[in-house]
Amino acid sequence: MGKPVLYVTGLADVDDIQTLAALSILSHVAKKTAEYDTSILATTSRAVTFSAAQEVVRDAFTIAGRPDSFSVESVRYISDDQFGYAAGVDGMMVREQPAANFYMGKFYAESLIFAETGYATGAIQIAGTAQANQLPFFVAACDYTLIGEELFAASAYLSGDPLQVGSLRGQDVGKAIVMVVLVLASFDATLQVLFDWSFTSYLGALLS
Amino acid sequence: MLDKLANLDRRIIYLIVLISVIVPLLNPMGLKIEPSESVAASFQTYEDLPEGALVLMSIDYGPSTAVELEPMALAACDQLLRHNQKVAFMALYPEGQALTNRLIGRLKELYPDKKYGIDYVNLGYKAGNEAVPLKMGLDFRGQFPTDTRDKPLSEIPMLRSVTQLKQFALVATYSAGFPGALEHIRITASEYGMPLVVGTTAVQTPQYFPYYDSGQVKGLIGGLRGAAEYEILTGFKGAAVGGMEAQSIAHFTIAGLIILSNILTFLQFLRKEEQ
Amino acid sequence: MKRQIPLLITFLSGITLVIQYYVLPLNWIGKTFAGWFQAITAFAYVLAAISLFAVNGKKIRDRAPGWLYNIVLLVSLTATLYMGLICDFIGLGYPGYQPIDEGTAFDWMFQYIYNPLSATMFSLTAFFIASASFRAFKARSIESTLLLSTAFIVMIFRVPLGEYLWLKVMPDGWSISWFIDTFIMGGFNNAGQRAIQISSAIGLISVSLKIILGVERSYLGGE
Repeated sequence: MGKPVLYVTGLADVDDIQTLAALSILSHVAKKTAEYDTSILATTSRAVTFSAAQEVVRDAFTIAGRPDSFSVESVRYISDDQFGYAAGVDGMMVREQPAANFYMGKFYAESLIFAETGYATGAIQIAGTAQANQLPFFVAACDYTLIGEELFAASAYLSGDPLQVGSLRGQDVGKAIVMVVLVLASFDATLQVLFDWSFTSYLGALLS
Repeated sequence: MLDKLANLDRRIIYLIVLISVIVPLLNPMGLKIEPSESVAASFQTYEDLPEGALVLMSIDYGPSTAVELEPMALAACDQLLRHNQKVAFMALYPEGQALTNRLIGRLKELYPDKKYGIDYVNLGYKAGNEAVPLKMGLDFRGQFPTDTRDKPLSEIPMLRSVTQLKQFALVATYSAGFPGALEHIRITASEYGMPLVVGTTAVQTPQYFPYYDSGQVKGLIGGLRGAAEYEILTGFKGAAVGGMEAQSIAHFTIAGLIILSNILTFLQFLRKEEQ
Repeated sequence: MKRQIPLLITFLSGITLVIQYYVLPLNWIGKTFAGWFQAITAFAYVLAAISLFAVNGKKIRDRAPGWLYNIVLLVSLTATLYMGLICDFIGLGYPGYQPIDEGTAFDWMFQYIYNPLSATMFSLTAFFIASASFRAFKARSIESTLLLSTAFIVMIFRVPLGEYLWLKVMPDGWSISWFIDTFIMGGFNNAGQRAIQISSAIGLISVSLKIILGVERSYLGGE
């Protein structure tokens, strides 16, 4: 109790969809921290993301009925530079000793630096990224990890809005279609290799 | 004792890793490195270039990843200049331009007879991420009107007649992240059909294997290991081969720590069962 | 109106950018928007810099713990800005007008201050991976055992020492590199990477459509 929540929005700018997903989740996290009268420290590595995050957190506090609890210092721009950002956030973790760390967005090599330093401070850690090569580091060092599309689904799930939750079903249908196409195409390519005949070559010959 | 070992202080682990890296650097073992297929493919792509061919090399890494990527870029430049091919450097990554300066500084030492503007040129960093390869494919001169010294391309001997991307025989990117390899794969290779060689960090290499597998990328050099393999193939005496020995011992050290951790966990489990 | 106008702008921009991607004569719109975005980013940096000065200045004024480091930050920031913008850009006694040219003070700072600092921070990953592996790579279940063994094989046999030891034990021609490249990297790794990339792409399309159509609004703040 009494410890802040740290929210790290990743290294990409607001034109990257992972950052937008991170800002969406920030809205929900900020609302919860406002409800429980806990301070939040949101760090950004891009100037535009900083401006957007400030508005998101301010509005979240307002909706939670605690507009006076919002402090402009709760959203901080650290540095555009990857390791400058990592150093700054690590310093904040060691000084402020947050109870929970959220790493949401696009991360590169600094992911393990965040996660290990956070572990050393004893914080609960939740990460989410669509960067496949950084996921192993988060999975090894964090308590919970949102993998790939789960980052994009999280905001819809948290909102509880039927339209948004319905879109998750749509995502699943899309994935099912892709899976069926993959299996059929692999089967077709295998036929081509084994028997020098395939449905697609047959169709191609028919149409030409 | 068992619990103390199982919860070993991180600083002791760091010290063990530090020693395991320093010792092989001071006492090299001379280990043999076998080149992998993707690195051999990169080497062959460069070897198959005709003499005097123009290569566009995109230096898309920063100081933190220069340890992995600079050796492979240097070895590739050495291979090109040895065969009298010409290199035009560019950068999608902001810090790439400064590191290109460093690379060119090295090339000047290795090849004092090669001249700027005739054998190599620095076109510099261009902001715009994906828009840069997109525009350079449509209008190369429009995207790079001058080099970093503000000299128009029409006045640079090696690029005097170059107006289109297709006039380059090969595009190579040594990339640490965004923007970099993925932009070149998506646009330079896939949209404009340019042959592309990718060099990247060890962490990102698995991500690019599907592109090498599908043939969108002609060669893939991954991490310090890839750089060391490339140095072996080209015969260039760079920093990667020495670094691999330190990496070997470090890997074994970490593997040893993992085994120790599992043994300790198992012993703790046995002790709990006994109790 | 406070929310309607941003949603309308988002919708129009999104649709325009999608159309311009597929209609070649309209490609110039995408490049124009990219230029506008860069201009907006430049202005946003002013806000971010003000925030930096405000937060760190307050800590210095209040003599918060570690306030000396806040002074270091502000001095470094100002010095770099001075070197790059005033000193080298105007060209007072330094070669060229490009701050990043060889021989400029800015380039000196890049090569001898920024380069080593950046490389040092990156090298922390090596130590952290050791401590993370010691803590996390335990064979508690079938999946974790599979993960552990794969990591073990790749770690040991992708380095020259591992290959040397393998060839000491196995007959000639039994290349472990080939096995790792073909089955582990080319097989399991490729399959896993492709699965994550494909599903992330589908999620990306879904979120992008939701944002363009105004269904997803949390990133704007408010309800």
